[in-house]
Amino acid sequence: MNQKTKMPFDTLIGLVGLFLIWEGLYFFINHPVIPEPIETIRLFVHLFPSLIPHIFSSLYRILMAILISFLIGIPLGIWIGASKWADRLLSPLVYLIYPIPKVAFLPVFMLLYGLGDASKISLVVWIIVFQLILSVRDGISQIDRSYYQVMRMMHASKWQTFIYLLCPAIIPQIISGLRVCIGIAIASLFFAENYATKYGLGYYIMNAWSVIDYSEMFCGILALCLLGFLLFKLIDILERLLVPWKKDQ
Amino acid sequence: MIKNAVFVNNLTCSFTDKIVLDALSFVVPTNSTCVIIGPSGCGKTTLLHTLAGFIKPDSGVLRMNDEPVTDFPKRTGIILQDYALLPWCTVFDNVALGLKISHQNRTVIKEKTTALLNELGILDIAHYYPSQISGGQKQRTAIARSLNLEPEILLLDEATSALDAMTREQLQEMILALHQLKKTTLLQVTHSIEEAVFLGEQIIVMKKGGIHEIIQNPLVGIKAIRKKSIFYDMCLTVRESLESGTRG
Repeated sequence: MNQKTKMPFDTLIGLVGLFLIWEGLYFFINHPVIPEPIETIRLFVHLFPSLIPHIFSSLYRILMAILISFLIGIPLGIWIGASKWADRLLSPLVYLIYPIPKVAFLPVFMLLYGLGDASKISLVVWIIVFQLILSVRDGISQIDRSYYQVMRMMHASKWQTFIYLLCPAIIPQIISGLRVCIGIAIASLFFAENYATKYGLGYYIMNAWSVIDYSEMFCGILALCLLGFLLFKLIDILERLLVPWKKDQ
Repeated sequence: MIKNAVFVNNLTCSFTDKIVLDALSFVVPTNSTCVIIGPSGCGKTTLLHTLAGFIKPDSGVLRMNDEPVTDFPKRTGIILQDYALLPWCTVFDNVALGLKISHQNRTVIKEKTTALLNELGILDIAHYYPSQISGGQKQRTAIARSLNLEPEILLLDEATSALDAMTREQLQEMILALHQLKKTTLLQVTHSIEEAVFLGEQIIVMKKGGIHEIIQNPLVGIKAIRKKSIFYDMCLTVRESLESGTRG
């Protein structure tokens, strides 16, 4: 089976697996909190137009948070990875902040940036930016010494070393970091969207739960699943475009 | 007067408290070939990396092409043990990178690189990534990358050690032919006695941290030398020198 046909097949296997697990849970738990899968999928198709604003609200917040995290995290990660004194200065700070459960900062961001999107996006940035900084920093420190020696043989300037060595070398780490970031971003956004908003999948799911409409709640979960799935597939495409040298390894 | 491509006098190098190179002195005349051979851990690679400016020596005089070595010497190329081909560059881009860095014209880069790839027999794999090619092809690519810089001195760090016997011999012949064609001074580190005798007009036999013996080898460049008994006599001479160096 070639690569092109293998991917949709893998996806199909995944979807069938998920469906079977859901069906099994519905059958064995036998409680209204787990609705019947086919009925829920039907309802999901029916409710989809009303879900679109929620999906786009969440998507907008995730993409903005990732964009801001990239703008902060990549240069900082490169700086920490490439400069010994920056590593000495900033790594302890990153290590201190990284393990803190940062969702606890939501009230702080709400007070600082108001109840709108800014506070929710800030929270997600605050959560994922450290992951990105560490991924990029590790990517830089893992570059083989012999590559630097080759750049010295070519009498490359610092800027040329940055462009021809550092930048391409950290792309795989950025992609891996992005995968982790998407997962964390969705999870933290779900939390953030429970407060002071009427749009977003987090709000939609918890609102359905509060009115004891479990089928609708599952439609929200399904939409969140779909959003995550599409974002991960987008990263796969991005990886194939940006890291073509890895595809045959 | 014969000029020296490499001039080393009283070169000493140590890591923490351990002396790795102890007062080494030798010269490599321009357009000649020199092979450094010795047991593992004797300091061969350290010596080559010191010549390349990757390691700063503690003391001594080190000149390449009559210029003191402070950074990587000008008009010099190096082929490292693992070739260090950039994985994200195709064969063509790896070879062309040096020209790109020296701001050469695009047409010149394309013409020069294509001609060199053709000369080394790797034009057909120009669009492949290093992960998609064999060890021998990687070696040719690394040689092409260095030659594209038009070096007067070429440093090779056990560059054929990871290859099978036949590929290794083919590449040794290619390296020698390129040296004769382009008049490049070769300085190679190896642990293979046959390679040393095949390529080195001057064979420097190292013992722990120092030079045990410098053997002059007149057999380099003789056609089909590997099939002649004098080749194996010279191999025996080098072997005996290596053994006495290890014992002493």
